[in-house]
Amino acid sequence: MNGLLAIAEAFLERMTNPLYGNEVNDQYTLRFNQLLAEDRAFASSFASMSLDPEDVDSLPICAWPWYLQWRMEHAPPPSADFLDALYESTEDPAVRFTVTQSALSDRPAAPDADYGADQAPERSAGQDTALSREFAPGRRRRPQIQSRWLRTRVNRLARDRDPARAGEAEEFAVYLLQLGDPDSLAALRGLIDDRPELREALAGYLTDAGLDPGTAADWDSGLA
Amino acid sequence: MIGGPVDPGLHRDIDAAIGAFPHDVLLTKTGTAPMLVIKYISPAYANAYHQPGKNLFISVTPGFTWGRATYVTPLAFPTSTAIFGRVGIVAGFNPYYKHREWRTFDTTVADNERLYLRWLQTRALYRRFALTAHSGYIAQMLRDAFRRNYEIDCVLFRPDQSNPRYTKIQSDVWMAVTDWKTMPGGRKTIAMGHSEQFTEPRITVLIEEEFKDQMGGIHRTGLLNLTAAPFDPDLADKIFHAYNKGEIVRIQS
Repeated sequence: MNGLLAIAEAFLERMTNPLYGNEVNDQYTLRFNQLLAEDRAFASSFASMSLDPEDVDSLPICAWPWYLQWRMEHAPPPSADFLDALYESTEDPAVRFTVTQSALSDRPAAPDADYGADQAPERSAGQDTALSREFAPGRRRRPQIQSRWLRTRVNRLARDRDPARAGEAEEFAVYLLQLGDPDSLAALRGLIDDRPELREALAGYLTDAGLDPGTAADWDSGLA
Repeated sequence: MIGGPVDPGLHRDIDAAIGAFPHDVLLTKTGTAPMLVIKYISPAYANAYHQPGKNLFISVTPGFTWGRATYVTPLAFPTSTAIFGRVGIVAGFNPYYKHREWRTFDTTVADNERLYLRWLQTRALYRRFALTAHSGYIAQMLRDAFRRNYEIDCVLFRPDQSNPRYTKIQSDVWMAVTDWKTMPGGRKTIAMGHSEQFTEPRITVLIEEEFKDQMGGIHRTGLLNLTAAPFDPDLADKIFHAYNKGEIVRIQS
């Protein structure tokens, strides 16, 4: 058992469980932020805490999305084994989506990168919405997926033909489409390479979403 | 563009709808427009704001309307969020933070609200949001994604929790303000922790009333209700002057 998590459990539950209401959630958030500001060493050790698969049950499930998002700001993600165990412990899309986000933050940092800057985003001139800008047309290689957890998950879903888990790959594909950053889309293309039927399922999503036909077609062809 | 596909036309419309911070929302009933906001919190940990050098905190509560942000109201609506706590913390702000004008999305404008709804309905996760019990968390994720995608520093919105004496849902304006964080690799995300968008937060108002949730928090019922008298129309200005002098305004139930 992780002692730090055991002590934190009741506190984090009050901070993140909607059953306590916004007032209590917010009150505990304030207290947590005060603690972090006053004890930087605690903040650092809490952010970089080593987590094993058996730690999944140490916190209420509602606390994990918060913890993973908070950790993303301060430290690399937990181990792939832990992320895998947390992903498999629930079918809650909020948790699974956040696990995927956390795994995506597992990437080599630029030499001058740190976890401390707080500048507003630079406006990117000519920002557009077309997937074709994410992927240059023409013959392509199999996409490179940087996150180890993401690579493993894509490979597992690509091989998994168990009918009882037929919806898993589609659900994961929806998360990747929703995230929509280049790494997620690379993973999505990798998954579609092995499971081409997913392309049809996602095309259904794009159509149901009410996108104009041109945008839907652009995304559909970009995923091919 | 992250966050999945968006129609180019809708993308342009949303981008065009995001503008400078509208200073008219700061206008008090007596015609002044102090660049101050107020945030009400529980007395439990409010004492920290009786000393200088503290920052307002960024709310991560899934039930909050516009995702992970610092929730405040312009001082022009001095009691609007008193339903959340007895201690009113007043702070300064500057919508030209770090030499960059706030990109503000004003959802008190019905057309802008419709733009967000159109964007929301085209998200891959929208079905989960609309058709499952996970709506609180997924709504927060989608709102964060929207603010991140369009680099929105401030969302203005109407109250969605209220008490008729303290909050006017048709006319009050609340603000959700973003702090940004640079991740390794250069990606920008919405920060957690303390906000750097507000300056010199200080306890300036104490409310006598206590509130409790009704209807899952949509209504906040007063527990004392000793009077139904309207508030002093000069209240915002009195709080403004009290803030400048380091004094505290006490508001009776």
